Amino acid sequence: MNAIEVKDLGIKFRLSRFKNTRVKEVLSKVMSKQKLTAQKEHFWALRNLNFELWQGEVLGVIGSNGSGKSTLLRTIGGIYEPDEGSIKVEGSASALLSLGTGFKDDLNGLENIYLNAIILGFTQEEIEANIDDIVAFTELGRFINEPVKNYSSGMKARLGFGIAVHLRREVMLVDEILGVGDFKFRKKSQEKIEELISDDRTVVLVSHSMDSIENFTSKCLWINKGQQMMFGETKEVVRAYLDS
Amino acid sequence: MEGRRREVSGNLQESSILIMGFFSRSYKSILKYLVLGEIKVKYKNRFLGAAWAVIDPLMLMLIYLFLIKFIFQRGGPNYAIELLVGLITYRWFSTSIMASSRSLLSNGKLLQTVKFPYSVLPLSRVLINGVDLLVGFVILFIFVYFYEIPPSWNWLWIPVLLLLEFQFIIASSLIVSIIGVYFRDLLNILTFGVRILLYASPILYGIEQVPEHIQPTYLMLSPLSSLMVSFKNVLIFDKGPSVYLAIFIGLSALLWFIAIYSFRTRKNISKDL
Repeated sequence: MNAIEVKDLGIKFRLSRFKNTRVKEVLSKVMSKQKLTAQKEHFWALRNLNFELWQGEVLGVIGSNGSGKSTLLRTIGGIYEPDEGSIKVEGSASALLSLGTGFKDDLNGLENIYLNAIILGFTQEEIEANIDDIVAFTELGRFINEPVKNYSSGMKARLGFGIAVHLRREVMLVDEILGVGDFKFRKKSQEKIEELISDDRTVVLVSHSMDSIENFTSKCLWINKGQQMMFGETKEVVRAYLDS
Repeated sequence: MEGRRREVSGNLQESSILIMGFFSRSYKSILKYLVLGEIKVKYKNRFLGAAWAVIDPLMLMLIYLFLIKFIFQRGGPNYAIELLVGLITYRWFSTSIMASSRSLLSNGKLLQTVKFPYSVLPLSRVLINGVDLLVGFVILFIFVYFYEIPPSWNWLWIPVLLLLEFQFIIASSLIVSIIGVYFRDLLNILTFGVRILLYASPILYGIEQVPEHIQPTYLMLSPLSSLMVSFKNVLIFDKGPSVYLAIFIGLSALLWFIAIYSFRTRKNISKDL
């Protein structure tokens, strides 16, 4: 069964000057009798993407900076609606992008786990069933009752990672998180991700590390400037990418 | 496989996050955790904690009381209560919309990471500021007791008026939260706007002090005036609410229309953050 089905997908962003306008700019435009919405420039962050992913498959997404990898993850996660073409996602996708987003600095670790997980769309029962595992995984000990503002960046990352790997959806979206924390914790999170991947879950992994792409993924998508360069078996795509 | 299937094509409109969202279970729990978390943060880390909810309106009241009663030698016997009821209900509106105006922007990172009904963000601001209102009302009734204002059946209008104000504030907050994404200096404008509204509403003065021949125009043009008059009427003067509330209700309907329309058409707001 197809977990993700992408057909002619296009995502465009407006470049118009109207975005983020300050009053001063509007006034100066009105004065000079320019039309406010005159500049409707846009660019396609993604265009003509076509691929299918089976349930349980792991997709790696590669490409240089600004090629549209994160935009693709957000589209799969439902944050952006397609401007062109279509995307079908079987089940629901949960994001593992930029860990620690949405933490409230003044709340403690435990409270932030609840807040974050609720925002990610999990129910209170789901969280309660997993809370002990999450806390144990983060290795924060008594710091779990300290406000997050006192955490080191590594501790924050661990908290975010703990939430993300324990509360799961059918489709997991992973954006460059394999290098979280110190060596010991990195090893632990590697194992956790391997466990996720060997699971029946569909995973989309964005990474600049060809090692992790080759180790973890079976399919690979290479995009450049929003265009699909190649989609297929990881080995072949990575080789083509490195040769380019 | 569970029945959660997302299928989106280019032109297919997703059902409105705003309308559908309000009643769903996940919407309520996000709202609950946002509000509880924020309240904890707001009051826990301050020296005087929850006392600020009391001190703030009281200080405002004392300032105006001094100004009007002692300097200008004006104001009736129940002026303190007139001030207080006006100030706390006005503050709910002003603080809510100011906080809402930046609510989407300041959570931009979150909105670009997780798909969730983003109208909870302004709505949570309204509820959080509602706590100050409730505390304010406790103080208000302590004053009412000491000023020996007799209880009246008209007090039963108070929850009705608060509900009317509540929905008005939500609609306004939803609108300013969207506008705030596109106009970064909205907050600066609102700071002046709410100040003007304070003086343009019968809060520091009574409606009877407005010249009689311009009273109808005044009540029609000043959006919060009929609400303020009604609060004072039912609480102090043992009268029913102002008939001009009809205009307030009409204005609310218009604001709701704009709010729902703008949330529907801005489904891709995460791209603009």
